[in-house]
Amino acid sequence: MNIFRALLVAAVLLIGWSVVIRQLPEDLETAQTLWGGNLIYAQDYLYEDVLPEDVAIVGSSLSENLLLREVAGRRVHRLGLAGQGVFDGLHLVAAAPRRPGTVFIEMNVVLTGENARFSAAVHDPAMNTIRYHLPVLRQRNQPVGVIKGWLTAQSGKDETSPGDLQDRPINNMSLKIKQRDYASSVASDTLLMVLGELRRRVETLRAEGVRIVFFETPVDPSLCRAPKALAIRKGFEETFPPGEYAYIRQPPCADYQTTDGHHLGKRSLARYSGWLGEQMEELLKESEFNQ
Amino acid sequence: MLFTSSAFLVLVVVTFVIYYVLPGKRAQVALLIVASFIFYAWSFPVLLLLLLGSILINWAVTYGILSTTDPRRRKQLAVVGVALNLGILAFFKYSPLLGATFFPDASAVGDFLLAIPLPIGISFFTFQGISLVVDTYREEELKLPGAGARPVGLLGTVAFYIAFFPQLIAGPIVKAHDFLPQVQKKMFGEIDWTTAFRFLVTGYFLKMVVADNLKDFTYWMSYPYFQSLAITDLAGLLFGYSIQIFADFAGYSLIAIGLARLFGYVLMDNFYFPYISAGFSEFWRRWHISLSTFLKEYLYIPLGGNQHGAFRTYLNLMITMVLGGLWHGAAWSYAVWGTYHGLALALERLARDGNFRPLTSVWLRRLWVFGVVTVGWLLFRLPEFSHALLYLQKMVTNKPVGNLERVGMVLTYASPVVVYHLAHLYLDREGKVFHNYLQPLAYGTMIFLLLTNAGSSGTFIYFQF
Repeated sequence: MNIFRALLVAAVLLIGWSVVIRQLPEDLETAQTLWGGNLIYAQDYLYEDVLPEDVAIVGSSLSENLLLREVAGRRVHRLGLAGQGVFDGLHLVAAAPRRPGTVFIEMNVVLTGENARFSAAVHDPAMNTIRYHLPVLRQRNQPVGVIKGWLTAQSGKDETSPGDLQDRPINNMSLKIKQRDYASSVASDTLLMVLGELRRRVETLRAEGVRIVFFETPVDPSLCRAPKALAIRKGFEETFPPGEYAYIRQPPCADYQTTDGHHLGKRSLARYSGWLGEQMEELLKESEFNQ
Repeated sequence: MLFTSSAFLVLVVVTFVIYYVLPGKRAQVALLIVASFIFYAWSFPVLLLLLLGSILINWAVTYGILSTTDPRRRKQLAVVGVALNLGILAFFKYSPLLGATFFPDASAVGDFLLAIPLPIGISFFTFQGISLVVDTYREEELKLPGAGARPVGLLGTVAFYIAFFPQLIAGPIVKAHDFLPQVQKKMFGEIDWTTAFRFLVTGYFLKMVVADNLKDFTYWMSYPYFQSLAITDLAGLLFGYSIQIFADFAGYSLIAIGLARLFGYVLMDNFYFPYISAGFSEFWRRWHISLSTFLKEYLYIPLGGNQHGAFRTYLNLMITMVLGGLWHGAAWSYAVWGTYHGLALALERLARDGNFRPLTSVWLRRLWVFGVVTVGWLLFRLPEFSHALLYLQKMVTNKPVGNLERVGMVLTYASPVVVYHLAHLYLDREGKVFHNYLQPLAYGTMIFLLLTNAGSSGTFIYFQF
């Protein structure tokens, strides 16, 4: 076999694909897996020009599908990562060359630590330089993902809706598992350690002029006031006093429905996104809004 | 160090450049030993002590065997050598299993046994140690040049044979009589670039595009998640895992073989299109060939093979397969997996001896073998035996149709492996069209997908063994 010919074929395919991906709609959903989706969010954020007036939302899968692309004329960068927590999102915010004006931090799944494998995949300086200059190598542009996204778009299925949340195997697990988990409080030293680390990162961002807002998404009513939720809420208020930090409080959980106790169903997600967007808008517009 | 990491790429490039500048065999071997130690110690430097210990033990035993002509003494030394290798393997690999089995309640002994870590690659390099000792004892099969006279030179040779980095962690298990005669000065001009290129591209493609992408789908086979999946998902994911484990391990082996070629060494093929096997004995001639032949040469034949009547043949077969199963992992489910394959082999032999052939079509036989092998992999994915049984139960009792999109993605990523096997069966590999057009197209497409569609990096499945 002629090695040169094989390399030539690869080069031609690479150039051809670079041309194809330029023609694709920007909002084409190309995520193939939860992990792949997280990488797309991360790479989109790292390689986009983040403006000082932009807004970033960091959190877990509870925030992943929020239907917020723009609030008060400001671009919203969604860094809600499935299966991960706020620390991965905060690392991304800190690692990007420019900071957004405001970061909204989800409170619900704060105990999940930073994912070392994700950090290794996302924060590799050499690969980031290459991917920045060669979009063809980004996760968003993987041929299988693009073809899948294109076929889905052709079929008319609304990929951006959380309909598929219902189908995620993890979400089919019984609500009872979460109720058991929430029934006991969190060890105070664990919570202190986690919130201490969060405070350290928050203060670093604040020192760079980033405004911080905490928010809590609604969950199943049986979890809202469960010992674990109460302990986390109390821990936040002690670490980040409400007079000093801005909060968007959890709306009445009974007004929302979840698929598994945690993730909002399709209608509830739309409703909460609308409500949260209004709250964010108010906060962003308040002239007295200061850290 | 992973074959897919950038650190490894740097190590290979630097070693390769220096390797062909060096003047002689001894310097080249010394360089490869150093590179191999760096490769092995990269993540856990302390593990290097174990590798060094294994090398020293095998060197001492080999030197002892070579230094005497007394047959009894030679045999004693060989037995000690094999026992020491198996002892190291048993201590590090099976102590946690013994601890969990015989000391289920908290006790000092149980805790100690459970806390013993499993050093990466130990199953592979201890088997190579056994091969070295046995081959040296068998003398007629192995000529170690000037070994008896130069212990230091022998130490270098033994260290190189055991630690050579392409095959150190996950094989192929190289036999001493295959490898040692190749140790000589290598010239840059003698590199078989085309073969190395083909092995490396196919290996990296199977690992990074097929296995690493399938991994993120077969994740849902974990307990307890699989319980809520529909039958189509459970079947699709099991099929995907069967393809993934092949792509992962065959990919690693191909990379290892390709790398060895770059340094002038020929390692044996480890996989030869196993999923087209029409029988279980054929499957084991095509799957993990280096282990199958090792077990055959160093266990099945010494046990008596098929030379002592039907009963002993079946018994030897079962012993070999059960131990082969346990070699894969320190859990009883691996012994069950070995027994499962042993039974399949025994029944196949029984049917053949009795002229009983219910499946006349070769394709039906292939599908049967693939199906049985695939169900067996469940014990690799779910080493807890009860979970594997529950998975099979759910394949019957759950709702029939689930997320077809997920199944479609699994089939998409599995398709290159299917094509790989079919191409082997049906393409005219000697033809001009194949060489001039199809082959460059296939390798070019694989490189393109390697660059654009690799999955998230994951460790190789066989590292755990």
